[in-house]
This record gives sequence, structure tokens and C-alpha cells, in this order.
Amino acid sequence: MAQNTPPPMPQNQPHMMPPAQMAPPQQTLPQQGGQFVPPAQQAPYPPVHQMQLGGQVGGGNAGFGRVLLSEWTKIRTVRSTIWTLVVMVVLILGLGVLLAGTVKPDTDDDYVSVSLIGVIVAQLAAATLGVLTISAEYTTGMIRTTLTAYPRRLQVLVAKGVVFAGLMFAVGVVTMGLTAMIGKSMLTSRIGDSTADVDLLRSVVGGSLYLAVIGLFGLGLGVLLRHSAGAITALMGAILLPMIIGPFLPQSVGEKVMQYSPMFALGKLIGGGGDDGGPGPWPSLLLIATYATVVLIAGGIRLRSRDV
Amino acid sequence: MIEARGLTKRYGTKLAVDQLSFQVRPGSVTGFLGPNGAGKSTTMRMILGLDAPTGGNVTVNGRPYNHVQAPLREMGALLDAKAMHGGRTAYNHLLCLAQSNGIPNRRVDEVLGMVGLTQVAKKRAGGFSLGMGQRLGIASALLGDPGILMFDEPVNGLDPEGILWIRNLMKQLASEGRTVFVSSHLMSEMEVTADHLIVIGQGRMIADTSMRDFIETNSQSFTVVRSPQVDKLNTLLRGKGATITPDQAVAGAFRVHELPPAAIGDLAAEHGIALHELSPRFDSLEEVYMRMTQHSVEYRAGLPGGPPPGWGPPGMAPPPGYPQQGGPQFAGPPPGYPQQGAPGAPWGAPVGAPGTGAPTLSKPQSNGSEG
Repeated sequence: MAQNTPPPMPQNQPHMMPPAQMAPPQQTLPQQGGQFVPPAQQAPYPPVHQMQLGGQVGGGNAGFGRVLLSEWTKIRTVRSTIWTLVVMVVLILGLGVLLAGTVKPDTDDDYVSVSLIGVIVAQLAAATLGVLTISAEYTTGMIRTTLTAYPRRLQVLVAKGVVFAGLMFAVGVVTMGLTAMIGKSMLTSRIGDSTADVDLLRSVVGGSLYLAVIGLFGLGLGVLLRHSAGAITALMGAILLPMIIGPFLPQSVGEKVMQYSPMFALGKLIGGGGDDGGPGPWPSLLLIATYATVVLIAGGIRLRSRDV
Repeated sequence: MIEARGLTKRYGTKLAVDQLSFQVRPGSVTGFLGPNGAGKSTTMRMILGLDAPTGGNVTVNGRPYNHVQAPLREMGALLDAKAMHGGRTAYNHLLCLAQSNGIPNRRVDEVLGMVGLTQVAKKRAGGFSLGMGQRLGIASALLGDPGILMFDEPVNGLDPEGILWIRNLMKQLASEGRTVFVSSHLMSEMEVTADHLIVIGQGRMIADTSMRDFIETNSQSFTVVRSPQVDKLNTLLRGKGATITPDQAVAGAFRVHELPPAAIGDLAAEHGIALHELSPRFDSLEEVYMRMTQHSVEYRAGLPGGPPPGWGPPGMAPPPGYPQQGGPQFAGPPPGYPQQGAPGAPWGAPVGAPGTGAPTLSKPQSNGSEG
């Protein structure tokens, strides 16, 4: 009987004793914090009565610019961002250099598009990072801290989107621009001048915009589904499935499924117009941006209306 | 000031918070008390606008929380110490929060110093101990130097040193005129921390009163007596109109109700009966609370008067330094803690004074509305 066990005069209730009896001798009282040498992952409690709780909090205000800065700090201070960017750069640049040094394209091929093949794989990393940007907040519980500090939820989502898309675009332009130049000069020196029309704006800028847009699509799925694994699975399905199941569908349907898919848009953007039908590079990009917008709006509605 | 009016939250058919109306005022520590599942955390999430109320509303300094321009400057909250990205360093975690409210970077260093985490500022928060994580959460609550602070179960799982630190911090914050709202299911902790109490059970208000009133109004007093001549003494005491019940905690001891300790001692001396113990007791907050909430606790334990299963984490020992929760025989403060009647004792009843020492028979005011 649990209720029989406590003695009438409990002896071992250190929490109610005066501070002097509070801690065993070898433990350090808060008042003696200065003498305490902490082990590696330990920190002493500072004396409360000496705490100056007020301080320099400034007179600034919260606004969209602030939350933008906050989201930038968040995205640059987690390892998943760094790793994803490293993977993206290695894939784009490495694959580009590898191909430029080995393949033998015809001289009427677009050397830039050959060099940028790595983007097709790198987009998976970009989209996954888009998912993690928001889903990791749900997984860790950080979202509650975020929304406590800044309760205007849609602004938080928009700020995340702006920061993330900006980062993807910037990294994309630099990496793809570099890869395109290196790859083109390598192929030119190996095989000779290409007769194909090279559209650097379409390939590099369009490709970078695509990375930002597919990442926003991932962000939208992340805020909509709130679970990293589920959202990443849905994302991979959306990117890869059309190209896999397209050929097995009746031709008229399968063609449309493939032509309106993200992969097709990326192919058009880095690989040139071609004459394989379907929308052109820029309309394709716009279509994918529409997908991303739809998912983001749905996610935004859920973020706004649901408890966190 | 936090003000709730008719605050209600319904999950499906379950009413988690039922028509709560209360005010949390500046300058004192207001304890928010209730067993696990009583609706404390839900109420706090509604205060922060994380959960939308099904009915009623709650304001922070007169405005709904999500209409506050820079919330960290008005209210700091620690709901869940784990609510942070473990891969981010302590400094960066605080930095991103500070930036969203336009708080300068140097304030981050200040609050890290306040909670004693300066040395580990560049370490990832995921590797922090529970106490350090809790302090990081407190640092984030202090970032904006807010006038209102809210802590959800801040001492849960902490060691005695951490418990003492947080308790002193809360008192310090209140003494500076801030509003401090702290929830707990640990009665003993509230007893030494809070000045004012808001008690809920099953989402409903049970009491909203000062700590002193709560204990004085609802506490029963009695005297624990031990004597080698039990039968003789008992007969004499019954003759004086006392009620006697065996004290289950110690063999041979019994509780005498409705007779002041002085009268018991005099009676024993008159008849030459030796007394081995004569100790006046008051119900602790814990016992008062258990009695008041027994009918409102969601899932009752099989044992009458025993703690409900929701009381503390199932299957876990109480945190170090805590008494066994729900031990109904625990009465009055333990040795070392200021005894009843000592200056500053929350229940403030002089020992042995017949007037105040007599059992308080008045029912808890709010009990009627509960049934």
C-alpha cells in the first residue's frame, strides 16, 4: 500500500530544506558557482540574486524584415543546409566536369546542357532541403518556439520561402555558371567548337530558378504534411513518377503526364527547346511554379488554421 | 497581465479546457495547478496563440497574443525545453529568436550569461542535459526583458540544484514586479514557490485564490500522538469529544482531531500518561489538493485516496528531491522547512494556538460549483 509508506516526519526531502542543507557537500550551490569547474557538457547555475534580468533589448520592432533575417539565421545554422549545398555543388560541378572530360557529343550538341546534367540529380537535394526547412521545425518542436516569438504565421512561411528560394537561386547560378563555363571550354578543347545555339540565360538562370521553385514545392509539401519522411516521399513521387509511369500509360495521357512534369521542365530548361513537343522551357518553369504555389497556399491555409 | 474569459478548448467530444476565466497579475508568482491532463498546457498554448480556443478568449496586456507587435518584449514563455532544433548552437538558437523581434545580438550574450550557459554557447543544443536545455528555454523567455513570464512545468526532471535555481529565479522575477505564471503538477513545489494559485481539474476551475487562503480555508489540522498507554489515553480523549483515527504511517501512532495539542498534553499529564509524540499537523497543499480534486480527476486510481495514474509520469520514480507524490499521510512541513506559524510560513497558523489550530470545517468555496 503506497499510502502507508511515507513516515510521519519525512527526512529526505531536500527540496523543502533551506538552501544551506540543499545540496550534498560535493555539489556546488548556486551561490558558489564561480568555484565550480564544469565538465565538458555541463554548466553551473549562476547565482540568481546577482542576476540583472533587464538589459539592452533595444527599441526595435518585429516586422517582415526581422523575420526574414531570423529565417536566414536559421537556415544557415543547421548542418542539413550545409550538407545539402555541398551535395548539390559536388553533383553539379563534379558530374559536369566528369562528363565534359569523358563523353563525346556531336559538334551540333549544346555543350552547356551536356555539362549541366548533374542538376537533374541535384534537384532532389534542393527539394529535400525545401521540405526539411519547415518539417524539421515540426519534428523538433521548434515551430512552437518560432511561432511564439513571431505569431504571424503566414509571414514566417513567406520568409522561409524567400530565404530558401534566394539561397537556392544564388547557389544555383554560381555553381551552374561555373560548371557551364568549365564544361564548355573542356568540350571545346577536346572536340572542337559547337555549332549549337547556347542560351546561357535559359540554362543557368532558368536552371537555378527551377532549383528554387522545386525547393519551394518541397517547402509547400513540408508545411502541408508536417512530417519529413512523408513529405519527402511525396516529393520524390512527384518528381520521378511521371517519367517512370508515363511510358506505360496510353500514349495521349502518358505524353501529357510527362510533358507537364517537373523533370520535363528541367530538361527543357537546361537541355534546350528541342522539338519533342510539349510546353517550352519558360512556360514549363511557370507550370512548376504554379504547382509549388498551389501546394504552398494549401500548406499556408493549414499553417494558419491548425493548432501547432 | 494575462486575462482569460470563458476560455474553452474542445478536442472532438473531449472538453480539454472548460470555461476558464482568470487573471494573472503582476508582482507575484501565480501557480497553475492541476494533475496531468487537467488542461494546463492547453491553456498555456491558447495564451500563446498556438492553439485556437473553441470558445472565449485570452489576452496578454489587453491584446490577443498574436496581435502583439514584438511578443518577446511583452511575454516570455517556456513551454517545452525540447522545442528547439538540436543541431543549432545555443547562441544561434537565441539569435534567430532575437532577430525576429528586433532584439540586438548583444542581448543574446546577456541572457546566456544570466542562465550560466556562456561557456557552452557555441555547443549544439541537442547535446545539452535536461537542466541546460531548460535554462536555454528560460534564456529565450528572458530575451525581450518581458513583463510577463510563463513557464510550463519548469522543474520537471531537474535535480535539486536546478529546482532551487528555477524557484529563486521565479521569485526574483516576481519581486521585480513582473507577472510570473507557472504551471506544475507538483504540489510541494508550488507550496514553496507560488503566492497565488489557480487550480484546475478536468479543464474546470477549482480554485483561484491566494496560497495562504487556499491552505487556511481547505486545510484540516490534527495532532499526531504516540503513547505507550494508548488505550487509556484514547478513552480519556474520546471523553473530551475528540475523534481518533489510527495513523497509518507509523504503528502505534494515532491522529486526534478536534482537540488542540495543548489540551491533549494537559490531559495526559493530569493522568500521568507518558507521551512519546505530540505533534500538531496541517494538511499540506498536496493533501488539500488531492481532496479537492478527487472527484474531478479524470481517471481515478483503484486505491481510495491514492494518487491518480495521471499523477506524474507513469512508471517513473519522482524526480530526485521530491517526496512520494500523493502520500496522503504526509502532513505539514518536513524538518528543516519553516514550521507552521514561523514567519513566512505560507499557512501561517501559530503552533498550538487553539483558535487557528482547530480544524477548519468550512468547505472549500468552490466545491459547490464543482459538483
